[in-house]
Amino acid sequence: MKTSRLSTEGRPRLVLVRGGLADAPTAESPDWTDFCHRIGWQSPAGEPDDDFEDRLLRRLTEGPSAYGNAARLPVLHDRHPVESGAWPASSALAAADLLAEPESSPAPWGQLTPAVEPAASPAVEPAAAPAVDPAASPALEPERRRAPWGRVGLAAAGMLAVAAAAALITAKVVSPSAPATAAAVPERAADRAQQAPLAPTSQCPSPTASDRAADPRAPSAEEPTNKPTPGPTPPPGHESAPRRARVASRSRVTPETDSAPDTAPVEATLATFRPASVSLAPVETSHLDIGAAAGSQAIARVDVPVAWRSAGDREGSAGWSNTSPDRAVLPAPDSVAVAPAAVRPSTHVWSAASDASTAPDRGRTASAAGNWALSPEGDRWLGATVTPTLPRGSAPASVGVMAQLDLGRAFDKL
Amino acid sequence: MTDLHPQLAAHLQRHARTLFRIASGFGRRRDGEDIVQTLYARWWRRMREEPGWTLPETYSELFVCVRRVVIDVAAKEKRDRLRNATAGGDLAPEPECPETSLHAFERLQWIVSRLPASLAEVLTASLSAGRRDDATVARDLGITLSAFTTRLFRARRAAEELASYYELLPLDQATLMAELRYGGKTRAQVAHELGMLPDEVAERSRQALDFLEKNRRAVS
Repeated sequence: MKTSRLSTEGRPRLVLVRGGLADAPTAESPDWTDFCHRIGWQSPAGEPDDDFEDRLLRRLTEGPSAYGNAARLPVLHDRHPVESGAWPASSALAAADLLAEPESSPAPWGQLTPAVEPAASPAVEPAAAPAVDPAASPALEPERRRAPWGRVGLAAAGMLAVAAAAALITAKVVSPSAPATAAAVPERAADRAQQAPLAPTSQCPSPTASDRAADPRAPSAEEPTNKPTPGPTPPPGHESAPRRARVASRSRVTPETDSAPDTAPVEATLATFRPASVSLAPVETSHLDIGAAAGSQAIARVDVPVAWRSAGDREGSAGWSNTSPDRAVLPAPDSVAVAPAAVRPSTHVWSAASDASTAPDRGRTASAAGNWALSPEGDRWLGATVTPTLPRGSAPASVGVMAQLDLGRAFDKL
Repeated sequence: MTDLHPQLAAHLQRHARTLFRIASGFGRRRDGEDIVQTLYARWWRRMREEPGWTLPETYSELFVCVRRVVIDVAAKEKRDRLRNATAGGDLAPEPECPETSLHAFERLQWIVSRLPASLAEVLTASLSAGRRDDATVARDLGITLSAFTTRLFRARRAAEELASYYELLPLDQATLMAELRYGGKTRAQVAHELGMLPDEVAERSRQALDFLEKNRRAVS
């Protein structure tokens, strides 16, 4: 082909070029953009940096334990100091929350109420026990709201304090294996009910011993109240040692079954105050003046039960009795869980002068007036979970600790 | 320094930008990198715990995974805001643009969750990949390009209608209309599920349609 034949001098030429003008990579049609806007989809404003993948890879692999190292995640915010405020909880703990699988981070624990809530009952007087009342300590409040671990820490601190106090002062630690005469339980409860009948209050719906005796469906005092399916009751004297221990331990926190031998002297004293019920041998502290109950005699007690919470969100407890049917079945805990719940400072005070006694909580141990009870059924409770590694279906390992402090003697020693 | 799993590293090279784009689409551009990193950290752990588990590859799967993380982040932010408000502290600064707020994300969630599955799949894949890659998305979904285009058109119509429900009607009425329109159920079934009488369902849907029609005329 000769070039002369292709000569196009003086003539217009058609030039074909491959492709066309490249649109911007993020450009979309206005119609599509408007649609995305309507449904709430944000059109990407731009691509990330060129080293996006390398940077991401480096951050993922850095650190001693790379994929579990949540502490390095906030480093990302260092590149965006202006935007860092948009993620207010850019902490290691917050990043650790996000690292969890969605299935493993359900709402229940996230929706927990603050550990300390305003006292619902007008009978609760925070000033009655300022040393123990968490609600009366505003300095602890922000810390507790920051993370549930703070509540757990508070619970652990409370337990440690109870243990230390029990070792230092004259304290009475009731162990589950304490001997008890279960056969005498209903008799004593009935006797006391006859001697000191109390007017029922709205907060005291739990039946008395006589009511239970009249109701054949109600579990008897000899029976563990939180047993799932009560079997045939062995005759007295034929109970196994663990069963007797269980009965003894539960009888200490059951309103109708406070008949442990070591409680008898105290009960005689308590009878003069005519309490609604006495669950645990309260120690008389005649010199203790708690809050508004000036001049009165008061009882201080700390119950520290240990509870577990299984994957099914069912709480089990050891160390207190429970007559609720659904709680009677103790789950086989198969996971480690900490159950931060509210602490219930029960600062009800007996008053010998007014002869007033506050009612115990519904369906649980009838806290004597002037008690401090930490239990999972109260409005305020701190609990820590024991970690039983038993397979599902096995008997759960339960640990119950109850400590009783004689603050009056403690103060006397001080 | 720990070496990343080879499959995960390759996946990151292929899809990290797509994941970032999806996070940006959810209104999380400011912390999109954090979300992608969190996602890969989860996947890394899951690969170690379940060696047979395979990484998500399709656009729809990537969309769902990013949405899961964004839900967690949004829930956490909401909790933090509530906690700060309860504590009496300053509230966390709201994003500048209202559309980047949680409302937009919740609206998208509501719409996508009420679309029929086939339409939702096409729409989420198209949103993830962008409108410029229809052929790839169609191949990814295993359908022809024409089928993808047709289904995407229907998905857009349905999503726009659901968006109008969400914007104009009370939430319960919008949910009722969405169930009647795209739930694939009869009125009797919807009434049974919502605990209403069939006549009541019919009356409420008629009221909603009247309101929507009135609004449409006002706009036009």
